[in-house]
Amino acid sequence: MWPRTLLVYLVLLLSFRFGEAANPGPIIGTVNPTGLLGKAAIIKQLPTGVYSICESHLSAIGLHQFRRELAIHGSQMRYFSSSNAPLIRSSVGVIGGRSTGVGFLSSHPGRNIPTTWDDTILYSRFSF
Amino acid sequence: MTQFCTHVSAFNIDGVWVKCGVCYGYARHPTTIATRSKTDDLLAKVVQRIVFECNGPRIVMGDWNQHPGILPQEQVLRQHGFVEIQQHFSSLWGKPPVFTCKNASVKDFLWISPELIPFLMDVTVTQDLFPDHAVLSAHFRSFDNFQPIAVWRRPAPLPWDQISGDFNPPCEVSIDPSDLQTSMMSIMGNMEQAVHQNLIDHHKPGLLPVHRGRSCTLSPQLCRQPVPPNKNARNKEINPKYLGEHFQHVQWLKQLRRLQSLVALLSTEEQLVTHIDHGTALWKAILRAPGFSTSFGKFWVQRSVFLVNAPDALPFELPNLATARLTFETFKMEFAQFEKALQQKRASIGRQNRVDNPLKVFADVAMPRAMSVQAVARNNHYTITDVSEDGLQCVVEPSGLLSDSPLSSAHGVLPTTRIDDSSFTLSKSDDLELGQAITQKVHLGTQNEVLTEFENLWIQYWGKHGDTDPARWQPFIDMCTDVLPPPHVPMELVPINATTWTRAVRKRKQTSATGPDGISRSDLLKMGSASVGKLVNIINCVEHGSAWPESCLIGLITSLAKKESSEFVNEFRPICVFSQIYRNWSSIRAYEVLRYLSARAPAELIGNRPRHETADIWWSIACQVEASYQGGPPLGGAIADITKCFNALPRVPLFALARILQLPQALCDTWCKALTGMQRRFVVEGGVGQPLLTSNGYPEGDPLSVCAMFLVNLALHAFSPAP
Repeated sequence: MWPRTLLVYLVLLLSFRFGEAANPGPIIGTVNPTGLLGKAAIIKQLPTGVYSICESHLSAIGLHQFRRELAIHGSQMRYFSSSNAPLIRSSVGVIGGRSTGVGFLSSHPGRNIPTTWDDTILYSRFSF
Repeated sequence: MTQFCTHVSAFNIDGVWVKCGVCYGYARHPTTIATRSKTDDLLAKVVQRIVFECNGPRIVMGDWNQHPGILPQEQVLRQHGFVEIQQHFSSLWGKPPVFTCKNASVKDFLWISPELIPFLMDVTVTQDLFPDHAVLSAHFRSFDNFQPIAVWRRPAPLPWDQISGDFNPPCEVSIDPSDLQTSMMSIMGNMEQAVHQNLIDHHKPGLLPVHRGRSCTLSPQLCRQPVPPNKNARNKEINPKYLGEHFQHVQWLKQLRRLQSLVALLSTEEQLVTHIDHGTALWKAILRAPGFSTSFGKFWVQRSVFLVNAPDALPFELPNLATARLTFETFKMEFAQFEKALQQKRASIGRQNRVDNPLKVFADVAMPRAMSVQAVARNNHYTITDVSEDGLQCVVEPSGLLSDSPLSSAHGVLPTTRIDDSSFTLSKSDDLELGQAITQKVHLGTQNEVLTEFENLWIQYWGKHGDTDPARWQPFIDMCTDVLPPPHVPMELVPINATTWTRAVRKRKQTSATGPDGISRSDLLKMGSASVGKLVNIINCVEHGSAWPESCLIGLITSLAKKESSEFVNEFRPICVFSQIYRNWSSIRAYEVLRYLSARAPAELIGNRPRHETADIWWSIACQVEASYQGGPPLGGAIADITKCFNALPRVPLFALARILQLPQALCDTWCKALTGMQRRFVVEGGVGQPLLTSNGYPEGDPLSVCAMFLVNLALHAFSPAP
């Protein structure tokens, strides 16, 4: 009885993998997905961590829809951004944004931090 | 445009706040100079916010639509110790960077701050998830839970430019020779109170707690929690103007936003029961808010801004709208004043540390200012004790190899496939032999590691002769007695008076660094004659045998890089800053000692003498060489250098030499007391290390150290054979 119990405990103990492989640290990455709308399923394939996003194409409506997509797919990621991409057209029903928009996707708690940036380049002749 | 292409956030990972900035570069016509310049301007905003205005682990990343090395901001990042993860891994392991854009170019970058380099384990580029761009990821070791940081509290500069009239307050502090530290604190406290009263009397905001406390800090304060970044303002909330990291600033901003929220709540036309409940709870939170030494109520009574009709004391129950609005407006002005003090303090520190924007004029010819240390590296050395027959597996001693850092031999980086604690495996044989030396570079980025590395290096010099028997120096002292004739007239030690003291302070540069005790050159010049008189009394008491005030002997050491890519601890120069009071006394006495010794030194002795310079030495040697070439007698010579000279000079023989040359006993005793009592602490990224007491060497930054070197010059000159 005792040897069998000890054996069971030993097997359980040996099944624990101590060390860094069992306790991975954070992953931080950067990606340009060329638009985030409709890509929540792909986002779910990314390992949990913090990812900067360039070219999100998310307008205000698009952002709302993307967050719903993340929730539907059960993703642990939250999207952090301070502004939305302008709409690609002004027609009714359009939700796609222009080829711009930046933010972060993160499975860790976070917050946007204040800045004093002004839109001095708002009327630049350079488009996105 | 800025808002669509740049963004900054902070993330709490394992209890550590990591500040991240992302920038998306212009994509259209990316190779034109105009587009590159605009992209660089965008990136400059992110770099300014993350690199200069944040501390701790930071990352700047994004798709910059430019090839590596094109944007000038990359140089700024490099100068502040940031590394791009693919380039860093390539330099360590020899693997070239992988394309991230359409499998044709590298356009995505991830720059990490020096604090994160030791935690970097792996870099991966995943190509098949998204079209056009790969996912560039950095894998880190688990961040240690936040280690408390020891912070040296220094008061903010006093607003001397706002003082009106002739500022000459009385100073009734009595000097106690047995406790000069308390007397010093009283004198400074009296000065601060006089400044506060002058401002109040002239209807200006008085001093805040952040302005007070000169000579009061004798040990660091432990910051047990990381400073969380301020939250971005919602709707019409107030946004701070000070974007640095300061624990009390975070707490005061929260309090200001609570008060703003309370005013908005009480301003609603119809006050429902829920509004009143919420308002009551909010008011309780305001009264109990942290960040106000005792409580917000007691802070209110001692505040520095007084508006008309503002309440004298805060009520316990929910106030009416008028009271709430006045409380909010008053605290808003206090907060603005606090931010101004923090910005002034930051500007004076930033002037010493920051490298100018490389795009400015003269950048091409201006040398970059030396950067203070953020992370260091150390080479761990091992010896091969066993090699397998195929030459692919080796065992080393001692153990302690790290699996995530490459190994190097004399021929370069080794092609390892696996590194264990005391052995490693190669992918191909590298002709390694028994007894061969192997090194492994270890990056140290946590504050404690960097501080310990500096302390371990320098304590070897500063504690060198702690156990040496003083009798060991007797032969040297006897030789000096024989070869150095004592001057006929001993040096006279004239007590320092207020005129001498003030003249010496005026001679100091306007940019002279403020000491760890918070006393600046302006404070010493403008404190008033009564306070200066008391200060001079303290100095005279010390010269008559009293112990130095402890705050005068504390030095904070900043390690500045000697060259642009300094990595190891011996590639940094330690610059020690002591109290202005000690430095002023030391410069007065050093001037007198040098004048006295120089008048009695041989004419051929050039070093450390007033109105002499190294050009005199090189000119005389050049003349002798030329004369020898022209048919004169043959010439020979030698040159010697003492490594880390000031830190290597022993004290016992030099003080004996000082007495042989008739320097006053009181001066030597006071100088010796100062050296023995000095506590030096290294500073890395705002945190301070352990206090280091010394038994050897003379501090760089102390004017009297030059006199010690002059004494050595006199002895060496006397020992040298005559030509």
